[in-house]
Amino acid sequence: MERTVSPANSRWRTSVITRLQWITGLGLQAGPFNEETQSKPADWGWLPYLSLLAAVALLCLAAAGNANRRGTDGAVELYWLTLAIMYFFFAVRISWPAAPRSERLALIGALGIALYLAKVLVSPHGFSNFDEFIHWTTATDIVENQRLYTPNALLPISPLYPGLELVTTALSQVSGLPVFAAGTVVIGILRLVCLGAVFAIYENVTGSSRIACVGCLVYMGHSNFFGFHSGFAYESLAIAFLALALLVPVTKQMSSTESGSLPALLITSMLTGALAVTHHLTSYLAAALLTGFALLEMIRTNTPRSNYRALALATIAGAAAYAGFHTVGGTTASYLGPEVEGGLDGFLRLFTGTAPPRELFVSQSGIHLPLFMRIAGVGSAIILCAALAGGFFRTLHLAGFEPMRGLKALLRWDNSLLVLLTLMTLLFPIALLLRLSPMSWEVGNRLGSILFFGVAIVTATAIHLQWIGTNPTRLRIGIVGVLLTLVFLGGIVAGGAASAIPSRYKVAADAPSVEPMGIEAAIWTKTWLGAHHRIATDRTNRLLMALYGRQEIATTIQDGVDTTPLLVAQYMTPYELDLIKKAKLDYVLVDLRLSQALPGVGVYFEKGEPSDVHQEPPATSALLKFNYNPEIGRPFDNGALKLFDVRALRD
Amino acid sequence: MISGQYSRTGIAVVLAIAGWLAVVFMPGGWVRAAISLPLVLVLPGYALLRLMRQPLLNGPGGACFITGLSMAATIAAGFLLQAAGALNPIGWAKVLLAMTVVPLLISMRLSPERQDAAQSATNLDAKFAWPSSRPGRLRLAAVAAALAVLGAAGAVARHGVTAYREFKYTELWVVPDISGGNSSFFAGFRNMEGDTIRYDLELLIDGKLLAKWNAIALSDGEEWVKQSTVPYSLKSSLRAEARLFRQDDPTRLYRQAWINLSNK
Repeated sequence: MERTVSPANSRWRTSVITRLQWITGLGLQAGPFNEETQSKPADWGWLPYLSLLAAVALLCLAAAGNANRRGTDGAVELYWLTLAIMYFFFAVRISWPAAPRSERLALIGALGIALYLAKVLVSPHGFSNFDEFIHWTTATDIVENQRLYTPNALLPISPLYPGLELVTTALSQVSGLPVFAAGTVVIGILRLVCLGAVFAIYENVTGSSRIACVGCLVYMGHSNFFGFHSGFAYESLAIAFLALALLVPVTKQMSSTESGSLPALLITSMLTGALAVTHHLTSYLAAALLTGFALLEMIRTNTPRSNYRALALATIAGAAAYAGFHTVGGTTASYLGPEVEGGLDGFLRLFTGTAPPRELFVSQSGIHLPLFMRIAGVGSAIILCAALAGGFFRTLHLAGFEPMRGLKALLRWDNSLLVLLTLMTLLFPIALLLRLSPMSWEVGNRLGSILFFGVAIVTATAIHLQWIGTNPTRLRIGIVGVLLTLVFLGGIVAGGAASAIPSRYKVAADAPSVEPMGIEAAIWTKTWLGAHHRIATDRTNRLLMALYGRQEIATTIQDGVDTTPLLVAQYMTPYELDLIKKAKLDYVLVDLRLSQALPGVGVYFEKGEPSDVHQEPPATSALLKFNYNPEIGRPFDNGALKLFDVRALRD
Repeated sequence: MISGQYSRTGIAVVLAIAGWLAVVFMPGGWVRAAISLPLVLVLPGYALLRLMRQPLLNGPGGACFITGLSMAATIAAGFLLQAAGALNPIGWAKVLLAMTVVPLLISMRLSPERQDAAQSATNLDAKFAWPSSRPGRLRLAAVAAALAVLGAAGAVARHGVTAYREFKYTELWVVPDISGGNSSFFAGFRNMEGDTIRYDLELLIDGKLLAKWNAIALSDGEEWVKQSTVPYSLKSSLRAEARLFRQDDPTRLYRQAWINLSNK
């Protein structure tokens, strides 16, 4: 029976929707789609000038970093302001309606690389972040030993996922470059691959290069983009593989032609297979996302070919993730399990009032952020939530989802990946809340950066269809540029990447704790004692001794023996002597600087150390107790670092 | 079309062979890196897409797939080399050369008509082509200036790290001389104070003075090492100790290191 809608009824419905839209900006009914229908002639446009601007900005960043290292006032403000100005001008030009696609795309690449170089300039002689040291050590082990799976006590799971290290050592060995140089090149190229894949996904699902480019701009605002994903860590490669795996089902050549099915399966097999040996969590997420895509495809269409292909892609990703998990086995579970459990426990304790919230606007290394960065941190969350509210239904409409046409239309859409990306944003508020607890912060941070695949496209849609709309004036685009800049800076704040700026030495603060005196001490051990001695020391010197000294580090995660009491106890009791035997120690390296301040990252030695250890700095007398045992030698002393030979007590 | 197809394949094969030759015959460095980089990050993925006859080779998505698949292929190659016990430069060069050339040669055997059809699909991207015209002088000047300023930024950053040393220190050490028997040891120190310093060094055996050197002047970064031997036979364990003093503060023991020498 045909259903008719009376004109009065229709007017009433339109009126209600219009008013709802006006009040909420939800976009329940689609607005005009203002995409350029005719391609503009390719032009270099502003690319050369903005490249020059980026280079000048990088010069300012290098100078500001040097000034901050010397403790000059205002250097931190200058650093972040320079970064904000650079991003703002790129954002304005990329959002500009008159810019051709090729220029926008080139500007996205140039901005991505400029932001990566900003990170490289912080430490141009070597990687400096905690995770980077772990993977640098694993890669160095592969080069030196010419084999995989050399145990890495800093993170035992790292050698079991050697994807990034294999690519880096391949480049290092065929080029003859050091691992650091090869790793820097690889991560820079990955930055381009990741942004290119994100752009291609967004362009394929929306049909708009402008939304895609604005989406890439928003994507740069996720909490790990500036910091963690610029680092030499396995997730930097994994996120690029994940983006490419998501690109496969929406690539027209592979989804629209019959001959594209087999290559799509082969390419997905290669990408998810490589992902499975690169990073555990991202591998599982790829399987989950492709499964979600397959389910949406099965709901959307009755076409067997399309359903089988989507199911096959999900099955391949799932099989690869399972194979990876099965091969590595309990190591992954024992590594990830406590992280997730602890995070959820911390989150629940926060909301039951039994645990204090995380101190906001202080970086992991204890650096307090300038006021405008704090404003950006809060502003970013508000802007993103507003954009998600305004863009959610508009993005679904772009995907061909039109719920206002009746109940049957609820299960109809044209683009399942865009629907999936949009639905992912529903979890974004949870990721924001997880950040409030110190224990669940890391879970929220990782989750948030994955959800940003969806957040970025929904926000870009809101910006394009709602905020700029059909009347893209200079003022509107300028305001959009400011808002995007706030989102970008907010991402840096959320990711705790404020330590990215070079600074003076800080106690147990990861990158700010890495300085030449510790490096030289580590090199001394390799030169004068030889490699592969068992050493117990603090968090920072573990990294240096493992990489520069090539020593074997005693860690709880590897050996099951916590050597923390040995280092901080006031006296050498039989318990401490027993620890030397249990951990089979050759040497203990003491850093007297630990007695000067509380640890920047919350622990002096490793996660899970007794909480009383970091309630107050260890006493110098406790650190120097080894002086008074006649069987202990002290072969090295540089004032702050003293190396004790405990082999006589071990044997 | 067919000749274009073959010429691209030919270029890829030449680049792969050049990369392999660079690994075998050139010393390591940035020149070798420039020649061999495609062997790791471009050519295996390109060859695989050619073999799959995928019309994906243009546009940002295609470039990303080429690089991503190259990395995936490199990872697979790494496991092969691990199994073969050949994770070394020559091993990498051989397997990556094979992973490029073999798929390309197989793809050349495929019917050219289908390759043409695949290739024609890449023309879908033609409307988004990169600028064909050369940029004007002002734009070229801007690019050149950008590269120059970028180089300056790198130099400033490197200078900042090397020139600024927050901690000024002197390293002192005593280590046994394994090759010289149980009674021989090395004592040494290195000046990292940022300036020339004059030191006094005392060597003691079980608290008794063995040797003393006065006014050893070391400039910044300079090292002083001396081999010493205990003048009598070791009966049990002895402590060899080094004490370092600065001449500008001679009463304060500046650094102290010791080891236990044993006849075991």
